[in-house]
Amino acid sequence: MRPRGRSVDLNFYAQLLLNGIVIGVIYALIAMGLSLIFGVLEIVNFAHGEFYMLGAMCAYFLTVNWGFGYWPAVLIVTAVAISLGCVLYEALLGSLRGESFERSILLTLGLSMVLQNGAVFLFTTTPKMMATGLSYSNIIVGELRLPLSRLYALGLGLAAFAALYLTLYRTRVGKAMRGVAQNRDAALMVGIDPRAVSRLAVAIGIGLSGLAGAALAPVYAVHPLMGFSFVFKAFAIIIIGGLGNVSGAAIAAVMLGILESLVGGFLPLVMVDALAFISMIAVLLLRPQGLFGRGVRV
Amino acid sequence: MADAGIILELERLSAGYTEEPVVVDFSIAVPGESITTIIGANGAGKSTLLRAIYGLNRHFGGSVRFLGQPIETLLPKDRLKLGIGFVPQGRCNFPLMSVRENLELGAYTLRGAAAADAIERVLAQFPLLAAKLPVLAGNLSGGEQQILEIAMVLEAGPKLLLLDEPSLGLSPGNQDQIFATIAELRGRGLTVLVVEQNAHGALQISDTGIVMELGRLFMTGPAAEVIADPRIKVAYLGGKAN
Ligand SMILES: Nc1ncnc2c1ncn2[C@@H]1O[C@H](COP(=O)(O)OP(=O)(O)O)[C@@H](O)[C@H]1O
Ligand SMILES: [Mg+2]
Repeated sequence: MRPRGRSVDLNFYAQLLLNGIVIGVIYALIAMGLSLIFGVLEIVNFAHGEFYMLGAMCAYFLTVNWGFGYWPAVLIVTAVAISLGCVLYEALLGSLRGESFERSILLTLGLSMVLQNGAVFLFTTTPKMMATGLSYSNIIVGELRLPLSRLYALGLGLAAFAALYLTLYRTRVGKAMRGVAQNRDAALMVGIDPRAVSRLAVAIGIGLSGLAGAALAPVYAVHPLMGFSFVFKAFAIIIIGGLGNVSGAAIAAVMLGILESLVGGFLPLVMVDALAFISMIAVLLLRPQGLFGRGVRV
Repeated sequence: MADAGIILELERLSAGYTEEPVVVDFSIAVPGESITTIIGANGAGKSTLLRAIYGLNRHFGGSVRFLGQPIETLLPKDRLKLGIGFVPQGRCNFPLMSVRENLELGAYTLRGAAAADAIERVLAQFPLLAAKLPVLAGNLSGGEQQILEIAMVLEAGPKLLLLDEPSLGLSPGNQDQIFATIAELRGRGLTVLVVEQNAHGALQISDTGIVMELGRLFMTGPAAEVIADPRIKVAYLGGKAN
């Protein structure tokens, strides 16, 4: 059902654009975490989306069942996700170095299944809305009505993006992370401990996923399968943006978010989910190096 | 050679990757402020030996003592902090970072002013790097990259420098420059253990020569003797026996 009238129309498009930017920024966080872990550890983390799902689920429980506010919930979820990232590294990923690529795929896919089914057991498959006071608050700008929950998610996403960028390019440990991704032997040569750097990369990657889930929990329905498709979409984004090109992936993510949102305003939802993969296939055929050219990992 | 005592001592060192050790029962003693060249056929285990001294591969047995201290169990970064620097074979820098960023990471084990001082020091020592600070390391020539890598390791102020085929793939002019640099480092009090395919060039500036075969020590002696040994001439120096 499409509203009529010029100003209403404008409002409708602005709304779609905002929604698209919000989901795009969240895609970017997940894709960047995935590509950070791939760059530093040479492991494709198929369980990456599950941490997005777990983040949303934890945020749901914290707010709906335990009465926490939105911001404390986001903070707690992010901290828990970072710790989970450290545990994931120590328990599983850290021992994979030098093992076969296939092993890492099976391991992270298996973990993804375990987490999904665990979530089904705890949560059931019924989608739930994290309804807080926030869900119904809006900011009115001129004729535009902007849902506060989306603006908060956008702000969180942009802040996390900026923090990650500054960490990678301005801090000692961030440069060490890029160093390990570019040449592991050279990193060892200058006295970087790749294990410490890898643990941090996984903690940051999983932390970003958890943060994304918590930030978006008031915007979309929460359910156990919400994360699984995200990994594949994140792959598509990484390929569209140019494998290993962090800012390329971020731009591709926001573009995809906007495209999905605009198309979703007119077409059925099932077709929207195919957009990422249609774009990916188009990019692979027409411009295999990605829209913004290939970087070497991080 | 100024006698500064034994800086590195390997005793029956065995090291490798998976099941079987590649380097077997290897024993040498390297005196301080000297240059030692290791030669040997491809696959003899020269790289594995250097990597073992820096702690990069599996230790099967024996001991590695640096300045009298056993270090077999230390991580590479801790060996670097103790004073062992290692420049691996092949290109080993951060190709998508500028020379400046590479040098910043070269000072990774140092903090604050010490890091800045180390960068200044190597820039003074290798002026060609000072002219290339904004250039991506991957865009430097092979010779420049080799110098950059040596400079990165020198920032940590090692007493012992392990170099794995530093002249590999360089033009003859650049090779000479690398050998001159190595000789100069000894003048500054460093000890250098270098693996070289260009055996002649390396042995000429060396105090000691070591020949490795199939993971074992084949012979060792003063560099001049190794150069003159007929077996070595035939096998590694492209000469004829007598
Ligand atoms: N990463 C590795 N994993 C398993 N075996 C290796 C590895 N690197 C080298 N080797 C084996 O160790 C032996 C010695 O190799 P290396 O030390 O590189 O010789 P060199 O430097 O004298 O040419 C070779 O037989 C090689 O196949
Ligand atoms: Mg070698």
